[in-house]
Amino acid sequence: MQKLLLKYRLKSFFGAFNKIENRGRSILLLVSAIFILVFISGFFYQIYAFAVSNPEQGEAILRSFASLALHGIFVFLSFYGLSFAIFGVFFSRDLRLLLSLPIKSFDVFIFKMIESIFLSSRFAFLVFIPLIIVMGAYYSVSPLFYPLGIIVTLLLSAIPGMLGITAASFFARRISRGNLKNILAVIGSLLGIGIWTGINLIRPGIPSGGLIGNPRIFESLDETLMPTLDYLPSGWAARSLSAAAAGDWGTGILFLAILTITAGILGFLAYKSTAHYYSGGVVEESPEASISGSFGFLTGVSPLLAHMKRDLIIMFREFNALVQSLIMFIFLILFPFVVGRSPDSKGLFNVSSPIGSIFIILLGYQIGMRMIPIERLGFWINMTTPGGLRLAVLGKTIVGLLFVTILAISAGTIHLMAGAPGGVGYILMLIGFSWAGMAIGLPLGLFFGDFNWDNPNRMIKSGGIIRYVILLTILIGLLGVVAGILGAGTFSSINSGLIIVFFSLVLLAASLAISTNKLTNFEWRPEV
Amino acid sequence: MTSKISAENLTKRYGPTVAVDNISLKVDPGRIVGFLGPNGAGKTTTLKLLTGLLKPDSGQVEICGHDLATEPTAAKSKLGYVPDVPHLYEKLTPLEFLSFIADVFGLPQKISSKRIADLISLFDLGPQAGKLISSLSHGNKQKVSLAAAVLHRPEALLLDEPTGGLDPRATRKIKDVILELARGGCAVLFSTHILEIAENMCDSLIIINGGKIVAQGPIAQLKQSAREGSTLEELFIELTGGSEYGEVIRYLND
Repeated sequence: MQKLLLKYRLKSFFGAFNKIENRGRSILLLVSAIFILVFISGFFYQIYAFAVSNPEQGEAILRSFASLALHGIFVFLSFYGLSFAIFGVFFSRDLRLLLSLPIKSFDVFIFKMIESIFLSSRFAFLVFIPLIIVMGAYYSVSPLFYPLGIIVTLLLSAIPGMLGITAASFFARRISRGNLKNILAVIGSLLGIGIWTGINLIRPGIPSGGLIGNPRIFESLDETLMPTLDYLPSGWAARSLSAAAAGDWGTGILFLAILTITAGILGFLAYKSTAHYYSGGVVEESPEASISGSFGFLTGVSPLLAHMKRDLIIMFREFNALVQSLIMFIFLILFPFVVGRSPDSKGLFNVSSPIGSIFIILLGYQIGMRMIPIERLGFWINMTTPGGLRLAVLGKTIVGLLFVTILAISAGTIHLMAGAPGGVGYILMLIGFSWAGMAIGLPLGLFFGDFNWDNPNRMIKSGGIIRYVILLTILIGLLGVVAGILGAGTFSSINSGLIIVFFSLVLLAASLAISTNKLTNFEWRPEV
Repeated sequence: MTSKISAENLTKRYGPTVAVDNISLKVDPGRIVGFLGPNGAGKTTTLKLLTGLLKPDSGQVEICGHDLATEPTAAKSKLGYVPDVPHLYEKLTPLEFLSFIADVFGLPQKISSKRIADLISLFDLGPQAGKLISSLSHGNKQKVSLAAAVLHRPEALLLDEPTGGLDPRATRKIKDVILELARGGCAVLFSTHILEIAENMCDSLIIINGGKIVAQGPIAQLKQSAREGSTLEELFIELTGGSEYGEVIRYLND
């Protein structure tokens, strides 16, 4: 029965890739996967070549590198494992059907567990495969190493998944699906910010220079970070692989056994906790309590304000989407502080550098693009009411501009208080760049907005992403040229800030003109 | 007398498929017209063309004398529309949603507050009024959608399967609301699969198949044109191709 279920799941998985409307996304995914694989393999080859060229430290380099890669993957798999377990094992849409069919709950569990582990860990193999090949090549291992490597990586992928299912069973009936999404969005964001900040904060303590060509970095990691992480399953996997590659099969198999037993225990716990819930029926959404606080003071004033009020309410209640925009804001605030800790830089890193300006442009872009499909499938209402889409887009533009302006002023003020140079000109530059981002995002949302999204990452159609990346690159390049002409990095006068604001207003006007043109022929066909 | 809903030679193509093929129709003030047809006949596409959600490849739509293409705001201010699936703003409560609709249609706050309260009470939405629309059942979402469509007292009302997913009590209320609006001069065009509702409520019918109108006129006249003693169901099956029904009976007897 599990085979049958998996067969149909695989059919639907590959069927989705073959659908004409998903072609763009499938091609993009394939190209991205190949690109990432080539990039990772190239990087791993450099590590391999570096280890070969340093025979004395070669083994230590490879061991600490493997350990670092496996620990990193394990952290991400733990988060994704929990996320996929919650939405794949407990809130999955096909559970109603599966549990109503004459199938044993054990079979359903195994099916959902395999599905959830596969979906959460499929991209980890882009790291695992080159890692095993590099280790195999360095040690000239016996062919038996490769099956062991595959088993170890499969177990390492399964453990976070099973851990996730066990943990998810605890949350699933206590917290509503919507709140769980919000909590995961916050955890994911904090994880990302934490890792990014952590890397930047420990960087001064690591010898300067690149990773490759500097054995001290690996020594430093081997001495400080690795011993503390050795007790994690990723540490056992690293020890199993390193030992087996070096010919110490006894240690290799011992750690493989530890991984297998751990996976077995966690699998048993996951089944026990899940079976209990499956026998109680599917997890239904708990009825929500009445909510209050909805900008009531804006009621009955004008249709434009009605649109703005609606967008504001939805923005603040689409917590998951809001978090995705706010994370850019946090990065923007932290950027000069974290990067500024480098011993080479004096004081704060200048946000008006090309890299810094990208953050604020992306912040504006994120908000501009998301404003359009934020109503999801309710967007049609704009088309059947007086004022129509033009009023709706105008309202969204004003709300978006207000939002990014507040964020830009807040970030700028924090930087100025911390000693950033530039004064008002600096804040004007941040405002200008955020508006430019909005100008890019708005028409893209209108052209490629996906109104039938569930995950905020899918608020724009995949076919549009390729065109978006090209357009965004060109526009950011243009902005970079303007910033360069104006002398980016020295925004000390109000005038240069004003020029950026003016340039952004021109871009906004062009964006509204493009959007208006699109609106004339806009049709409500969200399925296309 | 000027028709409140008027369509002339509407055509809509999707590639080689002609979804709506040269359709013309009129609904006069105070009249209720049933829009019938088998699944995929083009009913929803026609209604979307009449609301401006889709653009016709050719043809013209007028709502209360206003051309939908050239005077969209004036036309839409007279129009109410209930789609087949109630996709509303999931993150708003019914109260917030109705308040938004009232503001967009420019209703004075005093009037809108009273009408919203009346509609909430009429459709038994009191306990759900302060909860997010995403947490409501399909039937309750449909009620909110209907309340929004009639809140501004439209002169033309387009309903796409308005009773789908509703309990008998709510269905009865919808029927009463539609009849009351028609008595007040509103022109109503509504699609339904429930022939009994169509027969009881409508003054006339439009039957569509394969994107084309195959029959239209008062119910009594349509019945007269069919075989003697035909029911509306038999007439519908005859006009829209009933060969599959023989297959259904054979399958059930096997």
